[in-house]
Amino acid sequence: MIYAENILICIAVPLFISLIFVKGNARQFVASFLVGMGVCLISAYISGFTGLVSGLDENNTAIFISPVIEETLKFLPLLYILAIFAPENDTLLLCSLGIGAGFATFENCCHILAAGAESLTYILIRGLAVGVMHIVSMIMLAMGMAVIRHIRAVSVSGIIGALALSMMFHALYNLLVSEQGISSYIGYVLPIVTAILLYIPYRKFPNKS
Amino acid sequence: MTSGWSNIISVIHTAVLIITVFGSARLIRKGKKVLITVFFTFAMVSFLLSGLYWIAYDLLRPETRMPFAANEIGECAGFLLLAAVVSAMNDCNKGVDENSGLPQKSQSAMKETIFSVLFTISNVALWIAWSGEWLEDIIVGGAFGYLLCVAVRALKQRNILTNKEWFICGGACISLVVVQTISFFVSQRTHTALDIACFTLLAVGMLYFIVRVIKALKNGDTAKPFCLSVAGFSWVIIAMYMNSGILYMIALSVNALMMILLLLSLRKEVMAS
Repeated sequence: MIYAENILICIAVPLFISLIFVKGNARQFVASFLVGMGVCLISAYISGFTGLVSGLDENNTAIFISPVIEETLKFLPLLYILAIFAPENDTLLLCSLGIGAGFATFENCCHILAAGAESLTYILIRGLAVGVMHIVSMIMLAMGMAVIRHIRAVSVSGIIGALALSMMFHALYNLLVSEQGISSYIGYVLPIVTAILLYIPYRKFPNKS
Repeated sequence: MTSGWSNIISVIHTAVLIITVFGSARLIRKGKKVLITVFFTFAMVSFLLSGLYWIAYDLLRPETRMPFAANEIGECAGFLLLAAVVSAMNDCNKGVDENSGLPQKSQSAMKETIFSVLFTISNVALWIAWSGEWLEDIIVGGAFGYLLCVAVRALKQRNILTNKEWFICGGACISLVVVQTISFFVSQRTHTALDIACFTLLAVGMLYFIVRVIKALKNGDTAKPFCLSVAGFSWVIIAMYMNSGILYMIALSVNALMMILLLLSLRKEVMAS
């Protein structure tokens, strides 16, 4: 049993204070990072509740319910930013990175506190896999939204399609790492390989919309 | 035995999807209609992830039934992104009116769209009656229905089917729904006979679309093949969702073929632009 709310307060307060002193892109990133951590806590509540209501155990909740809830909740702040502020592509990508990184950081903090941090190898794998996975799924989603938003005919189906794609990616990762053995190794490598493949279009991605 | 065959066909289907993803990624590098090819690649990646999820689940938990078919999220993504490809392509192909300078008004496809919505609702009702998983079926049905509507509108607006063909398509759809509904109220023996009759009708439809796509590709037609292959793909999806066991595997094999035809017809349309 860990007190996730207390951990969130402990990590968020210094970041929140720093918001007053930073400006420009740094402020946007820190704010998105905080939002990402908050989203992580809320999605843990909702996943837990949904798992309980549907009668699934912890493992099955992580495989079937969490990807849908986590990706939807990460998508909502991004959609809000897109709809209200209509930012340039670089700002949208920065915010998506912040949300993804904040989410992954808080999830890792809670996991380490619950499971222990004795094995450096495991911690490294966890950091490289989960950390990269949340960032990759957010970049995919943000890039999709940035491309699609100006084309009215495809905007709704395209954006929901991109969201469903990121859910599927997350669900496949969770399924692969749920069992010990070769499948978990494939699962751990999957986000890093995707990140490398995604870096090519990301580099060429236009900053302005 | 059936499970072994099912796994082999799933692996072949996934291998075909990997080829399709690489093929469409190469199309992006050509630099023509980039948005359309990007959407198409994303759609194929969604189907690929869905297929991989299915295989991984089968290998990791062979005895456990999925409490929630997470791979269907990938299928929904694929349907929506493929629908986005058809919509974007339809928009690109609209000509400009010489007098007003405005985009040409497309032929109305209201009747066909309403019919496809009704057909989707009937199918979703049948899926729910078979599986009992109403939430999943409604979500997948919504995404599939959208793809069907977009495909039907594109077929109508590009004048690809004749009136006679529209009439036969409508008749086939109504027959499918009616026969499948009747099969709930008859004995097991009659039920099997009706299932086989329905599959025969679906198989004729699949064959028809495959032949039409290949013919259109051979004739050098650039506008027709992609719309026809999306319509054919939708028909194959109906065949897959309406059947189980060996009939499902046959439909899955045809689905792999449709993926290749989708890529070839998209390539034709993109290269012609």
